[in-house]
Amino acid sequence: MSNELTTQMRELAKKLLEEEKVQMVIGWEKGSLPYHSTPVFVTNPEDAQKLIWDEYCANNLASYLLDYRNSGMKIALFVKGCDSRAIVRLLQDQQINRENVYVIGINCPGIKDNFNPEKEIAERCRDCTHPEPVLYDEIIGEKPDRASDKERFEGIEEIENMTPDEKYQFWQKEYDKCIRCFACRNVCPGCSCRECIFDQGQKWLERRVVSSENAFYHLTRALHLAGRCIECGECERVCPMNIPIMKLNKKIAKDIDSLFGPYEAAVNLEEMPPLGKYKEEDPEEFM
Amino acid sequence: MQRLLEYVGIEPERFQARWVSGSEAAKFAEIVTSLTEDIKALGPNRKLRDDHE
Repeated sequence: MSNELTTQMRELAKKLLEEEKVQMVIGWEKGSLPYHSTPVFVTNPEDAQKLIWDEYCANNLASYLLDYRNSGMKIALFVKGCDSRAIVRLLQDQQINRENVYVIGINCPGIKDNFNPEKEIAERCRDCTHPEPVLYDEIIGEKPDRASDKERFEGIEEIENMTPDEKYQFWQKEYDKCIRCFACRNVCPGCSCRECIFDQGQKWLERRVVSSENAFYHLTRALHLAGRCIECGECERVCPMNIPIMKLNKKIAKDIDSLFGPYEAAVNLEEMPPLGKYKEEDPEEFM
Repeated sequence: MQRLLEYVGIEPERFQARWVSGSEAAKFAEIVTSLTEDIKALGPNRKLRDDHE
């Protein structure tokens, strides 16, 4: 199935570029390491041959649209289920124009973890709720026949049930590892601020990499994503120190579920995040 | 915010949010008194600080 998809992708990209419907196609190409497929930016119809689809096409390509948001270019890109939610995220946040992107959806069978290729499927794909893209102009691949075998909020309650000191120890251990490379922020489709709070001259965040500052960084980022996180798990994938960042993001998603009713971010373009709109029946926890 | 801080190990009593109008002096005093009592009972916060300071 993969090879068939690869052929389809190449033909499609070639056609789009030749007909000048788009100026660029973003997809994946074979990486220089085994088990790696890396993003590729195709502007020449001949280069469409570089494109591939395999089980290591992990990168969410939607975040790259942010780099071109002011270029006025029309760009086509391939999206898996989770990536398509990133497109909805960017559209809802008014970061991109719908008419400037041509979205080619891929029915995603789940991808593999390139650090643990012996595993059948990456950990973050196990609780996937949207293997089929939620938004696309065109879709390729067969409908995936797979169900998630993991609870959406698995492992969160375990931490909730710890004592305050245990929780603190748990997180402190994780934050001690953080080297503040900002990879999690840079890869995130929700982190679209032109000037990030952590890049400003003011000392919101001190430069030294110590656990208290690291904790502040992670908590702030989690709150900025509250109700907006699309749960793609890219932050955890790119983290060189293996910090369980999604355990924080999912906790907030869980709280929002319990406060505002069941909600999955960026599944429906029309439905704005619960923290981005007002309803009379919103809970008033501290009133 | 309180839920998140609780999740990372901060006692929820340390961070409380309340809505008090400018004309509710008595309510304000009451809340501050109870907050102070809560925090006195917990003692000084040693979390989210660096050891060498």
